[in-house]
Amino acid sequence: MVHRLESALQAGERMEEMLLNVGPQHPSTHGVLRMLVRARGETIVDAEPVIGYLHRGTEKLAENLQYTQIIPYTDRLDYLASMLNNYAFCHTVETALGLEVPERAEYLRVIVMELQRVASHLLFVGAYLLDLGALSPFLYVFQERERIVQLFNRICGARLTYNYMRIGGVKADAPSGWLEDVRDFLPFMRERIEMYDRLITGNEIFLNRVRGIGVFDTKTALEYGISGINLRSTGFRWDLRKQQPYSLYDRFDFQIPVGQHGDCFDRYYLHLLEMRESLCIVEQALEQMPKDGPVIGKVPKMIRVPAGEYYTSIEGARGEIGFYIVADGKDKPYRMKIRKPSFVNLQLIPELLRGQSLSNLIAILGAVDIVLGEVDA
Amino acid sequence: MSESKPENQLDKKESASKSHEAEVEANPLADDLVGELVRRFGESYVIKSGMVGGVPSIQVDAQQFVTVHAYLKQHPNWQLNYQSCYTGVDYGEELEVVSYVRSSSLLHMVCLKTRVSKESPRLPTLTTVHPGANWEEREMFDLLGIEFAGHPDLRRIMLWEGYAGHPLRKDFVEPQEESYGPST
Repeated sequence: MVHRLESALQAGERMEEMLLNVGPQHPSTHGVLRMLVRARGETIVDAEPVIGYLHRGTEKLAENLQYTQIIPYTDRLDYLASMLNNYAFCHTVETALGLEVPERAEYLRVIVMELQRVASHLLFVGAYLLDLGALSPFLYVFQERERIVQLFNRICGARLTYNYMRIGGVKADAPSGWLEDVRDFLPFMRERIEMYDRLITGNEIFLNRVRGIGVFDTKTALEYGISGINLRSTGFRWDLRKQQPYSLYDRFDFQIPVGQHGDCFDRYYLHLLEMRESLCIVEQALEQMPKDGPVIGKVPKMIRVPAGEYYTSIEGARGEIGFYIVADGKDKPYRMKIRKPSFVNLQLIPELLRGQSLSNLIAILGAVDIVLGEVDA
Repeated sequence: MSESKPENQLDKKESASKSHEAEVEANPLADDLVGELVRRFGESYVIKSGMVGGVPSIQVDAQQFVTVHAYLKQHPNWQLNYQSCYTGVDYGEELEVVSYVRSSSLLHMVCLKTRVSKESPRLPTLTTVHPGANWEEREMFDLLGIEFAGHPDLRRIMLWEGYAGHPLRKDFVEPQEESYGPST
């Protein structure tokens, strides 16, 4: 008996399969995600994400809310990029109504959206490094994120759930000195990105954890409807800001960085590169912005969207955020569907994990960059 | 109230699509799409066509829904290889399944639709053409009660097993406070 076990151990054999449960209360699942992992020894045979722990039925709630009342609910989807959700919803309703948004409002929107993208990507860098066992970057990124959050707090009075956008414009103009402070923030942020680049990108321990891990190609990504950095990491240049320009994005000169290998390292590095491009956009927006003017267009008091179906999407921090609205001419949508990039991207996880070592689970899951508020809606 | 609302909606939908019919002429993409499918599959294939929110849209029979997706995915003039939005809507008597597919190379987007009756809401799965449709179909199964034949893993995704009803249906009645929670 002992002999048989010993020889099996020596041959490196472990025949029985283990069913491991990760989450839903686990810091590296980025919220309330539960993962069921079937492992043979240390090799993952199969994995299954279990979601729904944060399901609030936003789509159902929206059917009983007036269009303006829905905006704060969108804050709570991807709570790390609320401004982008706000915009995605307002953009759909504005398209449906054919509303013209004043230029100053649109520039303010672009500035807050790109700052939001920087804040969201920053948190990704921090949280991802934390997942991989490096605690300090997580504390570092909160310093810069705090500057952005302070800026947002001054312009809209909230630190997380901004509710800043309105259908036809924004809630309020920038307070005095705000735009100057945004301008001051840019060189500071650029310097910090350089610092992260020096600190993290060349780190051998980090590279060994992320290089060649969680690889997928463009064909798989497109078939699975993957969007955002996950799609671009495969080398496919796809960014709705360029491919299907909305807002004022055709007025700015910026690059769409793409990866080469489609691995976790590319996904990490693209976050750094995109932050630089976002700062570029903010800089140009500050220069082009009209000195004054209204920040909200001529919008009727009660917004009634004409009967029809509307779908528009924008490039969020995690991919394509879209709102599909079926309107029946009333002040509330008949049906609202949210195209949630995290939800779609998360589907790929089982494919990526099969055959991987258990220690790569967190590295792969972290790089896909999901926010459970959005996955569960 | 929940009875009258969908019917009301249906009327308005009819009139809305009628008003869109004039626009079809003006949009070459929509014309091409209908022409393409009629040439390939015959006149009876396209049940309804028009523009929805600036996007060319066609409605086909539920059994042909997958065929149309597969055909337009590989067709060199269409290459609709990327599914953007996939969802369902309750219109009272019928449930509509809506799929926005776009081409990653040609950059156009098309809306494909089909309808199933509420009594037997069944249609073949799209996961064979777009594997990413998997969870969206599970969500539709969960929240709208649409069954997808041939789906690899058709289970509830947002709500728990044993939950009564499908919340996104218009005739859904919110359960009383005490009946919340897993049934087992």
